[in-house]
Amino acid sequence: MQEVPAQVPAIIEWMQNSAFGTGIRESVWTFPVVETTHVLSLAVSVGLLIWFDLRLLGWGMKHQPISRIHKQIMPYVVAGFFIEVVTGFLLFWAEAEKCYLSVFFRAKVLFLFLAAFNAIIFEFRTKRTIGNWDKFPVPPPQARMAGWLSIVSWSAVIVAGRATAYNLF
Amino acid sequence: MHYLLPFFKWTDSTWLAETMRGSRLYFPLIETFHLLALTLLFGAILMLIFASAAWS
Repeated sequence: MQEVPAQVPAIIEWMQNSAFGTGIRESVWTFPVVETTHVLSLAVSVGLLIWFDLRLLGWGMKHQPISRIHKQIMPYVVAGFFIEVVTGFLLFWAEAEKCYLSVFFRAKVLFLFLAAFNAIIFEFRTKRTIGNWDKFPVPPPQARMAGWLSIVSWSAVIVAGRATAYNLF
Repeated sequence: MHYLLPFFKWTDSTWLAETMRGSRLYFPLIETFHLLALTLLFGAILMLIFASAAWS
């Protein structure tokens, strides 16, 4: 049983000291395997998304219709994101107290929500007019803004994630 | 593999290695760039596979 600071909520304390959380944290194999899966799924989903974002900015694959790229990559992006969330939750469970107290973890969650919000706006609003600009080398400002927001927020998620792991401050 | 050990020992004792080990910031910073670049590379490889499979 670990000493937990007083300002940590009971649920976080329970997660930190549960047999499940302790098992992940103290196992020689479980934590590294879960973290490796987390990084690999991130590389698949965010790696593909960033190239899609570059197409939205008109910086690459200019002659490929955006809808075709979108259709091709989205199943892998969604699958990768799902694995990322599940493994991320397991990592959080194992180090709930450290994550809860880390300002970088809070920033990571904030940027994660920003990325999700941006994706929802793109899927349900910006994409509705895709037929008009699908084949243009450079899409309209709303689509480019979605690309920029996605690149910035996902990069911030990665930076904040590393800062959380190394407990920088 | 033991024939590589002197090389690893040498890299471990270089000024660069000691500077990185001595700093609290350099290692996480470089690892962050490493991860960002890996993500970009992984995405590029998958895009290339998709392009050769379906877009051509």
